[in-house]
Order: sequence, then C-alpha cells, then structure tokens
Amino acid sequence: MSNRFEQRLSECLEALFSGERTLEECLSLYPEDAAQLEPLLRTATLVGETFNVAPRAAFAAQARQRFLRMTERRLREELAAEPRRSFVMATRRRFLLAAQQVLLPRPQSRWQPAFRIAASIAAVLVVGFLSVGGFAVTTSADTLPGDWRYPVKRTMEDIRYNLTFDQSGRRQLDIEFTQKRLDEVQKLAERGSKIGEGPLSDLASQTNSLVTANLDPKDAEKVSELAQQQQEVLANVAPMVDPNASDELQAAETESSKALFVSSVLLAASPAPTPEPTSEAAITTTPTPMATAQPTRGAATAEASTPQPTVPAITPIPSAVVVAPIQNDDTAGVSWDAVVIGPLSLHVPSRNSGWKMLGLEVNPYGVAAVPSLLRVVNSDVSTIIVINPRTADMYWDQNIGGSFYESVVRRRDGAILWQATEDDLKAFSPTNADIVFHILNSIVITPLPTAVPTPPPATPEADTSASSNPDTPTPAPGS
Amino acid sequence: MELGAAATPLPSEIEEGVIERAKTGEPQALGAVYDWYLPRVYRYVLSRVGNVTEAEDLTEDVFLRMLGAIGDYKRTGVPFSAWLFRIARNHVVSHYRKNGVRKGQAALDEGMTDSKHDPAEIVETQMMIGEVALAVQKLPEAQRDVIALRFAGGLSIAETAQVLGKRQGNVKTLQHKAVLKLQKMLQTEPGRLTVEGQI
Repeated sequence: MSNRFEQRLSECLEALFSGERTLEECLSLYPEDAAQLEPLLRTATLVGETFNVAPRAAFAAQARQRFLRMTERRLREELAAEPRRSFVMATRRRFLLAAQQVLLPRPQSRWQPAFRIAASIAAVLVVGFLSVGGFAVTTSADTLPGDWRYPVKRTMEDIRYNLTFDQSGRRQLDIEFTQKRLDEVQKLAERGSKIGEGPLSDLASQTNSLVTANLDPKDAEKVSELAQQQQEVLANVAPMVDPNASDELQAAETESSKALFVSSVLLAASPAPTPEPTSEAAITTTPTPMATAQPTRGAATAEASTPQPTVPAITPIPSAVVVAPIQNDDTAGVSWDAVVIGPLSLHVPSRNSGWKMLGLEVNPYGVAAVPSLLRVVNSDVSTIIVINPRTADMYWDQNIGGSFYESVVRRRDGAILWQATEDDLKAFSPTNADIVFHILNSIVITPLPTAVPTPPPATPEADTSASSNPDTPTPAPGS
Repeated sequence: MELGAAATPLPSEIEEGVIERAKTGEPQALGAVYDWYLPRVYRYVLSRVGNVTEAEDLTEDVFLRMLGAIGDYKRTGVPFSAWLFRIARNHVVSHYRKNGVRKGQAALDEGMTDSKHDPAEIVETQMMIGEVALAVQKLPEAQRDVIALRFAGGLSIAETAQVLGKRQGNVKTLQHKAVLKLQKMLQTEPGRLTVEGQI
C-alpha cells in the first residue's frame, strides 16, 4: 500500500477524530480512494467509539481529590498536622484486636562481641576480687544508684547475663533486670531522692533490650504486667525527676509504651486458654502455606493429613485497614506505622516522616476501606511503593532522572514466593532502598481464623502456629 | 457520539502556561491538567488492560508518576501530552510484564457503557465492545500501541510517534495495518455504524 494512501487515511482519521469533517466529507475529498477508505474509516470509527467511554464519576472525583492532596502545598500542611490523640488511641485498640503478630527487630546482642570477650575476662577478675571482698557482693543486692556498692550489683548482673548462653534464660534475665531498674527508681522516689538521668536512662535501655529481643509469647504476660507497672511508677515518680532528666523520663515512658504495645499484640495473637465465644481479642490462627486473595479461613495446615487444629470462636476481622504508630522505631531514619489489612500486616513510613499512604479514606474512627492497591509515597513523590493488599505483591517505582523505573520487590507466583534481596534493591536504586527493604521484611501474612460454633480447647499446634510466620519466602531465583 | 471531543488539542500557549504553573505545585493548574487529561489517559489505559478496576488503579498511578516527574518536564522537543502518555505507556507495559497478557479476553466490561446512549443502544454497544476489544487485543503489540494511543488516547500521529519513539511514517503504516486487520476481524459492514452527518 502506498505512502499516499496511508497519508490520506491518516488525514481522514485526524479530521474525523477532531470533528473537522464527517466520514462522507472525507470520502468526497478523495473519490479515487473512497472505496478503500470507507471500510477502514468505519472500522476506525467503530474502534474509536468503543473506547470513547468516560471514567466513572466517583472514581474521577476521588482520584482527583487524592491527586490534589499530593500537591506540595497541601502536603506541607498535612505533614504539619499531628494525628489526633483520640485517633491514635482508637486505632491502637483496634490494631491490638486485629493484629495477629508483628515482626520485631532482630534480637541484638546485649554487648558487642569484642566487648563480650573483654567482659568475660573482667568477669574472671571481678569474681577473683569478690572472693576477697565478699562483703560487697552479699550486701549489694538491695543497693540503689549512688551507693558505693551499686556498681558491684550491676557488675554481678552483667556477669550473670554474660554467663547465660540460651535465649530463654537471657529473656528471663532481661525481665528480672527491668524489674530491678524499676524498683530502684521507685525506691529512690520513696526515699525522697531526686531521680537523675542515670536510673531513668538505665531503665529505658533495659526495657528496650526487653522489647527488641524476640519476645516469646509465653513471656508476653509478664512483660505486659511489668510495662503497666512501669507506666504507673513513672507517672507517680515524675514530680521527683530532676528537670535535667526529663528526656530520660520520656525515653523510659516511650520504652514502657513500646513494651506494652508489643506484649499486648503477642497476647492478642495467643490463643486464650479457655475459649470465649464472645471474645474479640482471642484471635488464633491456623497458618496456610501462602497468602491468597481470600485466605481460606481456618484452612488446612501444612500437613493435610494431620487433623485440623480447632480454634476458639472469634469475631471475624473486618475487611478494613487499621493504622497505628510504632513508638521509638527509627529504622532507616524514619518513623513507622503498623498497618493491618485483614490478614496482612506490614510497616510503612509514617506521615510524620514525610510519607503518605494514598487511596485510603480514613473514617473518624481511624479505619479505612481496603483499597485495591496500597500506595506509599514520599513527600516529593519520587518514590512510590505499591502493595497489593490481597496478594502482598510489592513493587517499587523510583524516579530516576525524570523517569520512573519499576522493580518487583515481592511477588508470589503460585506456590513460589520471590523476594528481592537488599542488594537487589540497592542495585536498583540506593535511594530509599533501606526503607523499601524494611517494608518488605515487615510483611506478615496470617490467614484469618475461622469461627467454630462449639470449639474444643486449642491444641498445642494452634499455639505454636500463632506466633510463626507462614509466609516463609523461597530463595530468590537469581538473586 | 462525540468522537472527536477528546482529541481536540488544548491551545499550546495555554497548555504551556498551565504546565509551568503546575510544575510549581499550584493546585488549580494541576487540577486543570488532571481534568483535561484524565479521560484520555483513562481511555488509553482501559483500551490496553480491558478492565475497569485495573484501568482506574493504573490511571491513578499514571497521574501520581506525572506529579513526581513534572518538575523535570521541559517542553523542548516533546509536548506535554506525549510526555504524559509515555509515562502511561511505560506503566501499562510494566503492568503487562507483571501480570501477563490475558489472551482472548473480551475484557472491556460494563464500566465502558457510554451513558449518552439509550438502553437499546447500550445493548448493541456492549456487543460491539466485546467484539472490538477482543479484536484489538489480538493485534501485534506495536499496532495495538498505535491504535490505543490514537483512538483511545486521542493523540495525533506526531504525538503518537513521540510517545513510541518512532517516525511518523512508521506510525501511519502501523495504523494502516492495524485498521486493515481490525476491519477483517470485525468484518465491518458499510452502514452498520452510520451516524448521519456526524461521527
């Protein structure tokens, strides 16, 4: 076919689509080609008409609203706003009810390796010293900060900790030492002493070690009680705190809130010893090997031949998004929110850090309908993280040199789960790779539990499954 | 049916001024850009993915990307429409890469119903929609690109060439081949779609 005919066809189509000419007028312009042009123009018209549909009015309006919210000015205004206290509390409560488990940061060594070696040597020396000065050891247990024997007490604690090698034993020591630091603060106040930076700082760091360790659900109750007690004590002793130690007081309060939060989540995720059909908090689960759009409720365990564990009746979790701030987590230099969407939970950078979740219309009660895609964007919209809340597939779009490039971060294909490694992400773009990686690592999928009309007691299998992550990734191919 | 309405170009001097204001983040200007381009981008995306829900999600993403990159947009050489549709096309291609091509999907669903038709027309339109969508999906990628950008996105030959990085002559050829194939597939009968005096 000649270029001339293609040119005429193009001219006619441009004229038709712009409304400059009718089909008949076009044909009359090129009578020698009219017979060939007519069917093509009619076909093109048919196709054009087919696609000439308007977007749904509701979509256009809502998307416009979200689009305009992203303008810089509005973004600045929104970023300046703190979340309402009532919102935070309401969402926190719902989050605790809905959350099955959260990923805690990896347990950190109490001491750095080099220091531990030095400490072990020191321990031997100290023990030797104490064998001579046994008086200090035997009388140091009840000493308080400021007493000359107090360093001995702390050293003995360090020795005990350093000579305990199993995680469970160390967790018990963490709990015990946190209780001791709290008791010391309380006794200082009872004695009428001003509470300085040291005791509060020690309490904060000890509590921190408690909640950053991989807390066992079995210890959650103890930690929860301890954290509540800590909050009460700190509130009571606040008038006795040295004004110069207000930051340390705040840090201790934050750590106790975090401990309470984490332990509460773990408790909520643990099966109640006695089934309570009306309890909303007693959420137990039976994990399935993979996430699905509509997880099978109470469905098969990994071993299909094994009798299915039964679970207590629960109130089904609504298909809603619940957002709650995470205290004192500044991973990758930003603050974080925990987000729960049905069986999916993950962490996203918080609004206070200049990030925003799009597509969420949060109601006055702090709950939003589940969007078809969850989009997390930074303040200048150079980074867009897209998460499918039904599959947990995750994609990262990064503006590089004025164009957006996309990287698959997490993708499930049948039974295979592929996840990018940190190196993959850094190779794609060093900008915000750490944030994307943290989001990826925070993803936990726990199938929704099922309601059983007359539940027998929960089995041990159900207990252990509640705290496990069923969505274990397979190694990334080629990564 | 007002086929040509979406393709009427915005006077360049007006568009240029609006885009410059939009680059500063001025909400009114961004709103104007959004209002002007949303239907066209939506139609383009819908013609490519064939599903209203996906089209809405992807369209919103396109505007988000546009917002993130508009500061880097310079008019030199590439009109804004071509620049925006390049974003849209890249996003659609990426979407296909992620989700795979759904062959044989007569997927343009009820959301495509044109509200300007009466109920009797809607039934007939729905039938055509299924046929046309299926036919377009069967075109080779390059031809489908051209048809979607030209007939759904309302881009000119020149703009389509800029989006695809092709010469205008190539686009015309692809368009011609695509329409020929569509005609054969759809077996368009003369007069079937006659709208007297206006298309």
